[in-house]
Amino acid sequence: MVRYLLILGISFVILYPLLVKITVSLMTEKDLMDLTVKWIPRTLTLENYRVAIRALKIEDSLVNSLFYTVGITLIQLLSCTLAAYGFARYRYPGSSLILAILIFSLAVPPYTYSNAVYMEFRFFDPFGLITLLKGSEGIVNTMWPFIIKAALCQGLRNGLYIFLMVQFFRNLPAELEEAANVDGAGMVKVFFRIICPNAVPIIVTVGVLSIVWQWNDSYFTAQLGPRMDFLATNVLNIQDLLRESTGVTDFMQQDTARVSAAKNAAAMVMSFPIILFFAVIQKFFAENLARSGIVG
Amino acid sequence: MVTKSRKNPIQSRRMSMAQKKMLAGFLFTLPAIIGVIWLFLIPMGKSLFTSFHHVEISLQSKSTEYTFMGFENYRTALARDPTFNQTLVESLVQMLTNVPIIVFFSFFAATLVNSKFPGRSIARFLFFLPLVTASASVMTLDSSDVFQQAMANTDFKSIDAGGFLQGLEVSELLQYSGLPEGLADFIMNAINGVFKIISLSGVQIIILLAALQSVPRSLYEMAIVEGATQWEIFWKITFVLISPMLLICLLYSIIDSFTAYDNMVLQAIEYQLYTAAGYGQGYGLAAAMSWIYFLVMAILLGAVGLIGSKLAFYYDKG
Repeated sequence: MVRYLLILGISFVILYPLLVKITVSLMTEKDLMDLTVKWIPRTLTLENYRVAIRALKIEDSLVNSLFYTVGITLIQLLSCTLAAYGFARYRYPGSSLILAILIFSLAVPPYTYSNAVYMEFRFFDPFGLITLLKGSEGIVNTMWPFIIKAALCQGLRNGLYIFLMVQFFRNLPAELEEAANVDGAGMVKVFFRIICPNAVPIIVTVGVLSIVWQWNDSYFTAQLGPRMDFLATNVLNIQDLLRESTGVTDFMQQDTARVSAAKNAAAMVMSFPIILFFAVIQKFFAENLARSGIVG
Repeated sequence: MVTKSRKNPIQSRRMSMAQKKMLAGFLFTLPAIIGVIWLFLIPMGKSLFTSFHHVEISLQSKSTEYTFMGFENYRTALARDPTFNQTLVESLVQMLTNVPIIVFFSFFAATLVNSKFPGRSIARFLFFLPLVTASASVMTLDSSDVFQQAMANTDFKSIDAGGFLQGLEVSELLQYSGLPEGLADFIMNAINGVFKIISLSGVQIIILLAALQSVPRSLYEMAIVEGATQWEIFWKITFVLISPMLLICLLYSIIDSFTAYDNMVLQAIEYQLYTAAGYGQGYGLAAAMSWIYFLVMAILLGAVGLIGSKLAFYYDKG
């Protein structure tokens, strides 16, 4: 009984902001100004969503964010699984050091090195190829910096993923691979046919975490793609975007009713898909979490 | 470790099993190695280099001028800048108070959701929800949204006085019930704090949940048969067996609070980078600040890690 009360209490604290956003985003300006209307709007309206969707440039930002989320996650999963397997199973001089640095890189505040990384990509021009292809150097404002980072295990929170995966692989019985070796499988075959199917729990766990974090990331997207449209960065800059897209002067003020409603609608547009995704995947995620053997 | 057979000339041309394994490991981890060196170590080195210089970027001539300054930037950050020291200490104190609460709460939440009960899926979903919706974008929107707060308080008064429970008029309730104002204030702050704590606990709950689920049932059953009390079971079995993950949880929380988007020190560094006088002039100072901050965190993490690993109990790792 106490358990339910506690859960109820905590759930309330969690749900409250979300409910506020939903309610405000569905209200008309009249209802917002009306002091007697608190939770249930007198008139439901989708106008705020219409405004928000236009301001967020949904055609571009949704596509970019989807690729950034799903595509980059897949790339990261592949590179991190390969690397983690190598670190866990095949020791070579220096491997522990590099693993330690990788995990430790999680603890470094991004500002420390992100500027230099930006510079690397800004002037990225191996063998003059980029100037040849594009006419000017640098690959900023494309998807390439993200793709390259993910492929090299330097994406968002990759240190954590590698750490979790190494733990998992260390707990995997070596007999599986040895049996495969006896049957004549080479390293690559062992990896794809034996390790990967067995690693589904940790891959799912890391995959879900990665999707959630990639979708919500507004730091790296803004830094390496300042002129690109991402859902996260556009929501962050919604004030300016609203001004641009509507050209209406009363959006200049921070706290007009319509601005607030539009902002909340924008926040909902960004939050809703990921909440839906997580709701659907939740049971699957929790089951795999239990089997991911990241403990011990 | 490297053994080459000298007996048979044909054999000595092929690699030994050990060598093959090392090569395989190297190849598997090659992307990671390239990534770490090119996109982490080298940038870190450059940043360290920058921190010792005064940087001036001129947009016309597209050149960057580095003037060597030694530890000047560090001295400025620590001794001359009016707020850096203060921000550093404040941020540390905040972290020291928050982290234990977060870990404790995560453990508590993980325990709640661990055993099977009707509605468990929903509870789990709700507990993970803050993690799913925690984005700097949305949170920045929230904090600047006057209407969210105003909506909760129909009188439009004292909008800044209290966070999200205004709508329920809890603070008035507490005051009418005769509690001294200080105490009512404290309770209000605590309740507002709960929300912050919950939203920072996402990953930790995941880690601790996995840890709790990995404790073999049989141990509990044996303990009950032997007549252990709930208290003893908790401290002697549960706590001990999840202690490695508790340590990881602790370290992760420290890291999280140091790299949070609204961390004060990070904001100070950002200010230096982008808005301080002169384009690009803040780079050196910003780099120095970053490194000071980083060193502080590294020392803290090292200390906690060392102490923790002595105290934590490890299975025999096989």
